[in-house]
Amino acid sequence: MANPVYSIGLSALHTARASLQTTSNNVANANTPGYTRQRVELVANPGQYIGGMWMGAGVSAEQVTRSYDSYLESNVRSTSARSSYYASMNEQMAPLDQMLSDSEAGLAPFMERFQSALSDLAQRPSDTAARQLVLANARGLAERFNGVAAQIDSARSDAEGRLNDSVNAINQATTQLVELNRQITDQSFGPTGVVAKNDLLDQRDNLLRGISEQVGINVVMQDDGSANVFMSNGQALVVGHQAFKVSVVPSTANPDVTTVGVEAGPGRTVSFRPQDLVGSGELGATLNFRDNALNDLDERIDALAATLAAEFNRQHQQGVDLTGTAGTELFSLGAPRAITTSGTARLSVTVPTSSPAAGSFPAGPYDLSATAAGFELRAAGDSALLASSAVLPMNALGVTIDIDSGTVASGDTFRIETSAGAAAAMRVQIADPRRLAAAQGPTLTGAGDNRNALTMSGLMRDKLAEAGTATLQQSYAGLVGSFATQVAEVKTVGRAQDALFTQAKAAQQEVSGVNLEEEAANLIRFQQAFQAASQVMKTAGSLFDEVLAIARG
Amino acid sequence: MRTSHAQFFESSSANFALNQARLQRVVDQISSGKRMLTASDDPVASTHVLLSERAKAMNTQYQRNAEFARDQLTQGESALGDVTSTLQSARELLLSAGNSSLSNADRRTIARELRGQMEHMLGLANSRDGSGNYLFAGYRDDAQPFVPTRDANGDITTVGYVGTQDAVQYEVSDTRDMSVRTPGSTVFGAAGGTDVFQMMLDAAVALETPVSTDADRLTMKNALADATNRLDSSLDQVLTARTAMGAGLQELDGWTATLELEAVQQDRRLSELRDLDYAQAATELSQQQTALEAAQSVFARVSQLSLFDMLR
Repeated sequence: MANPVYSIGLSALHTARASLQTTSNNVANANTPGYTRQRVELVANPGQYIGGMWMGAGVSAEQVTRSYDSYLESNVRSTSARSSYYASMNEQMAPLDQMLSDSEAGLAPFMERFQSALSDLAQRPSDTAARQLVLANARGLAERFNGVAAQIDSARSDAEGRLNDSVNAINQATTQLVELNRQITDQSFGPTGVVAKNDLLDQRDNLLRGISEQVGINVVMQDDGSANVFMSNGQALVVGHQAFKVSVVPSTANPDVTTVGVEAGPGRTVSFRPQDLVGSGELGATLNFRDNALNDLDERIDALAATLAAEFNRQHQQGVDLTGTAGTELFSLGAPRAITTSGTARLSVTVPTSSPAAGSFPAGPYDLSATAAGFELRAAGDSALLASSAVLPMNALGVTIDIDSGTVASGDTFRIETSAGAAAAMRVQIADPRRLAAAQGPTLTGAGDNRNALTMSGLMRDKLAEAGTATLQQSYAGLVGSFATQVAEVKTVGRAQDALFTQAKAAQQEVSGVNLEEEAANLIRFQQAFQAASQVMKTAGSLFDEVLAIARG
Repeated sequence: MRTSHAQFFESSSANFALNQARLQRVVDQISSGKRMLTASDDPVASTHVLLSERAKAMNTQYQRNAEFARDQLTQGESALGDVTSTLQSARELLLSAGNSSLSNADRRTIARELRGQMEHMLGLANSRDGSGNYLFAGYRDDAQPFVPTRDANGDITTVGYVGTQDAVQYEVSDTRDMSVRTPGSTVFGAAGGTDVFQMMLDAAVALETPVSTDADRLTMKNALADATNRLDSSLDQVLTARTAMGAGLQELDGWTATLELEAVQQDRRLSELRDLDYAQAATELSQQQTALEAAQSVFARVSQLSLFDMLR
């Protein structure tokens, strides 16, 4: 029988070495993202019954475990999803907020300069320079509307790019996750279970954090050690060894725009509405930004552009120019359209290019719903009935709506965008300064007739926008304020979510992070243990020598 | 509480970033002089700023309009002053022409003088402003409003009015369009009222007609009396127009004062809404600076503390 002191010393030497190795690994990975502190679980070996008593038999290293708390880790994931939601939202909204309220780049100064130029024209109606100034400022205003529309458009295509990036990132991560699940549960790699394969588990947690930045998830651990991943609304992303692809798909509510869907079976995709993904990572942020804040801004800018254009067209046509010709349209408008939000029929929309009467331009957007009795028109998102008709074509508020193709069924809904594209399409239709109708029509009384110029200058003071409830400047200030309020809210909530994310990370790191002081202390401790074990070995050796010496004696 | 090595560095650098962002914000505020850097900093105030800035700009425009209106009124008023004195000297001529001791030749001389005054009057009625537009032409201000026809000798036989009968208005505030030009038809009676030129023409023709009989004399006397009456009502007519212009100038003074006052109020309001409180900003700047420096020095010291240093 071997000397038990020798084997005990050996076991101590082994475990001390294992502990030293683990400590070194902790030190080495102190800055590795996602690394979880490891430690060697030591167990005393079962004692041996020798000479009528139980004698200890050394120590063994049971396993190397991670200092890990799944609750804390899941908290990091969920706070990360919310924090990145607001960060991404802010990132996408801030440039527009800045642009809209800028005292030079915003629309307000351009509207005012146009008004000023008209006021100048009212004093020198026959002055070519004053006329040219009006045209120059009208062009400046139109170009600024174009510029704002272009910026909104670029924010939209930026959002499309972000959606694709998010989708790709999620798909890549879920594919890798399936592979990691497979390796973690693969028996031939060694024992399975949540305590095995620490580095693979770290990698998987890292992946899950990465997904959380893109979209909010729930992770459900399985008995075999694999992780199933679901989106916050229950849609599966990874189940066992299968990943379900996320993709950008046409929205069912509006086939003209995209949304995000998840594969839910062969050839079947479940798509999301933005409201399903509020607070849910960058993906949720991009979808909500694009479909709510940006769309709302786009619609309001278009409504403003269309109203301004149509009101000035109306007034300009009532005047007469220096050549004695009746005024023509001053600005061009966009292309009104109907979007089928439910059903298969396509509708056409015609909107007058000049306001029927002051403050009555139907800037929209409107909701049209088909019922058993006919068609009902409402302001978008409003319940009050504006007009109804038994059949199409219907004419309401100056808007003509007709069937373009297909058949309308009861229950179908449409969004009537009467001002669509107005800001982008706005152009000044007059190039010759003499064609400005500064005089009152229908016949020219004299070059000094400034009456129509006076009236046009006054249009900026009249309540022409938003169904005659606001001036054009007020309408613009209103949309800037409403966008800014959303940004302010995103900033405030975002700061709170950042703080929660930081706390969650700190709490997780408190358990799982590497503290170098602690590791230094452990290094000394295990070094001493190693030295002591070596001493035991040496003693065991010398004991053996003593016995040999006796035998030789 | 355990703190992890990575977390210590991560949270330290996050804090530095936050401190620096705050510092940068104060620096941006100070360099722009503005409290709000974007609308979302204070959406409600930003909306008011946007509208107040426009109101301020329009105020400037209205002040410019008022200046221009004043210019027009002053020029019109001064022309009408000359018209009044011309009419008064014409009246003296008419009175002197009534003297029974005058010969036909004397009356012809007076008539010539009267015609000279009529030419002067025509010039005044066709006065132009600094931009070359006619002051008494209504809307047709690019064409001479009072057009004479002349006989072979160059004497005026009729004076026609080709302007319009409209009073031209300018906007001097959000709510007020003011008449700044009275049409010549009103002042000189080309359409209703007393036709000043016809009155002077009639008087000149009466004086140029030789008198030989008592009947002739009576006709001439009656013509002169009639002309004097018409001249008096012409004077009233011009005076009414002048008075209206004087009232207009007074009203303009009122508007200018109101606009200037509004501009001051708008400036104050804009300043309250938008401008930075420099004292507060300076305090915050030094606070943020101190905070950043403190965080830096704490980090520099704490990060040097390591048990590993003791293991050497």
